[in-house]
Amino acid sequence: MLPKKARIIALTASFSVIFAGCWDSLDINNRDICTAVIADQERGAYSFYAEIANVTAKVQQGGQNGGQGGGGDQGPATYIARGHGESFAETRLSIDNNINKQIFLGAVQALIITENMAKKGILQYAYRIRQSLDYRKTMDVLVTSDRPDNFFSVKPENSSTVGFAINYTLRSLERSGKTFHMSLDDLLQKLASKNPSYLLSSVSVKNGQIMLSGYSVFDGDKDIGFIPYEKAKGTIFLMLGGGGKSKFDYPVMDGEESVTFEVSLKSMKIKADYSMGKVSFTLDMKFTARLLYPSNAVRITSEKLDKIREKLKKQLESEISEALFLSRAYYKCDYFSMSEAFRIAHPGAYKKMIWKDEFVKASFSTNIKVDLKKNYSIDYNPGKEWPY
Amino acid sequence: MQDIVTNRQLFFLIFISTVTASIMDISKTIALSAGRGAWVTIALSSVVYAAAAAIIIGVNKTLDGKTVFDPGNKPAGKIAVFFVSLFYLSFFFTLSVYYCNSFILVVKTNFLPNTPIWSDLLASTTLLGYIAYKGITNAGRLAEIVTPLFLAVASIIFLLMFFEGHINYILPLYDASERLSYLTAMKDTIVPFIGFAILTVVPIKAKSQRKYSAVIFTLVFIGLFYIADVYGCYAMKGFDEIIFENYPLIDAIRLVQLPAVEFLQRLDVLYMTVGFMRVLVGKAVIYLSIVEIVCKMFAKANRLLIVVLTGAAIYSASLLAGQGQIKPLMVKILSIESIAAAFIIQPLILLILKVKKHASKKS
Repeated sequence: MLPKKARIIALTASFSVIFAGCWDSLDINNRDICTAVIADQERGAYSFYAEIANVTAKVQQGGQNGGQGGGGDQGPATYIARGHGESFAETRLSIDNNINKQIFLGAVQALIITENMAKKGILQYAYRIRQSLDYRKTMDVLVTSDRPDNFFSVKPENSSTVGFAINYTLRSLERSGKTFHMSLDDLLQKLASKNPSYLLSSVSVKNGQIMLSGYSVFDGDKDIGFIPYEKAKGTIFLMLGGGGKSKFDYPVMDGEESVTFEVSLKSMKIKADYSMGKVSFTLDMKFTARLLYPSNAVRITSEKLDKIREKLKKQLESEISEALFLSRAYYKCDYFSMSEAFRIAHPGAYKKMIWKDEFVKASFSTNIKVDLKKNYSIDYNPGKEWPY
Repeated sequence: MQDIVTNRQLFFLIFISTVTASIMDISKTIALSAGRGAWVTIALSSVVYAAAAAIIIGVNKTLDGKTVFDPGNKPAGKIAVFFVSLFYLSFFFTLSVYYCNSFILVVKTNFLPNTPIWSDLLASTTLLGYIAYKGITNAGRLAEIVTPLFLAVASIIFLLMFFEGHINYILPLYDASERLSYLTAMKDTIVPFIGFAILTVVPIKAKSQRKYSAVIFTLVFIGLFYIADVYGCYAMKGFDEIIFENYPLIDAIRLVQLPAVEFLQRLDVLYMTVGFMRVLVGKAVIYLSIVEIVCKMFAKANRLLIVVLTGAAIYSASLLAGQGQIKPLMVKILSIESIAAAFIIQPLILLILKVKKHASKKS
């Protein structure tokens, strides 16, 4: 019989053998870390493009290891693994056949679906990702109208990999209140809901850089349209809602002069009504416009401010109405999730109705208020009290 | 009477052995049966189970430092006690296998898909056996260390879930047209709450102070904890998607992000580290309950031998259960056993004890 201490040591050792022998253990050096995936569908065949970061080698310029595009001076080298096939399974097998290590998808920063594939439907692909333990469900799901190869030929300024470059660009826009986040989990939630309408950010390559070009409109799992970023302010306000999460600079013209404001949506209340079998919404939106700078040296007076406030209010009203019109009348799908406000107010009625049919018939009214705020660091009319 | 636990230990023991497995999937179960008004179902259930727990305390207090499993005790003769013990033995054994099976499935499907079940089970059962061998007082002390740590981590994560999730996903909190389903859904809370049955093996002295309020508080607290769990998952995952996930809590935690704290980017790893400690202690308490009952049934048997044999039985049954999709069947069996264990046998014993006490006073 072994002495007590030896028995404890033997027991502990057997535990470490059991635990260290996890059949799932695999050294990170023996895995290919994927940072971005592009999925394409053309002429009935699928293609996957995976950006692989090679953490064990650093390059001075460009890509290596048989790949294209990729690494900068400081970051890891990257190469692109490509796979083609008649089905997703076949396409993935083709990728696995092209790389020499097991692929690790937990670091994927952006999952980009080409417009070709998005127009045909993304449900099967979404379900494929849902069951995977590897993918992080917080990653961005994006759409592009560009060719997949265009992405991997760019040399991003803000990162050494395309996946991280897209992530940094979107996070930066999000933090400054200029876009909203749509993750894989948000997408799955939308697909499971009674109102499967949503917007996915669309990215493209312009002047050698990756940028947010707008939003792709999805009805169910199909891409049915596009809202250019330049015309999406109203959409972004409605998507981000109140709480000052969205912020845009608005130059307001007054004759030859203009005054620029930073406009944010302070609060948004959606009231859903249901009477005589008709759905109606009232949106109470309170904007805060903080004075930034005038176009010339004139002093800002209260009369001028009143005039500007009215103009700004009209501009905002027009943008919000246009955004609502696009959703309800043009695309005929509720990507602003008005269904949520209605469901909360009238759960019984919501259960019985086909939301899409009711939404297109719904009426909207908006009450917009603009509260002008001064810039506390600058006095635009010395000697006079605000609002001058 | 050395094996008596303090009120604080009692709280931790009940809490940890109750939330062991159900914390992972209660949001899915209750979403399917009670929807967004789940809080009504859970709140009502916690009150009902608090009453059942109070009855067990009443029985144990009447037996003054003994349990119903002690042979030749007051409520009935040796044979009756033997059959009661046999029933509770079967009940705790099913509960133990259910907990082991649930835990192994969580590990297998979410963390270690290639690691065989026998290895995970072997590692955990050996540890559980050691805790069970040390007795209820030591288990209580362990629960006292692990539970506050787990509660702190879980509270932070639930708070973040509400902060980062969508409040619209959890509204409306009450739908009058669903009133009936709130009540019928209570049947789905039997297994999530039944861990309090470990009270049957905890001896309590007649003069013990505030044991009733301690167990009632514990069960109400568990109810609140489940409500935070369910609504946190609803807020993160969305009500429509949650029903497609078998372990919504894990998936919801994986969505929680703390970008400001660089070293805490993976909150699921933090939660799982503390959560697995809790699961082990919870399972150990049920294992311990089986050991205590067998020790009382076979007073002359060696405790170590009982611990080893119990471990071997749990290990084999869990291994078998892990081979097939028998979780729904186990839930059904466990639900029936739980109703008998908490709502039929204990009130009956209390009634017999009260009648006997009354009769002896008269005579």
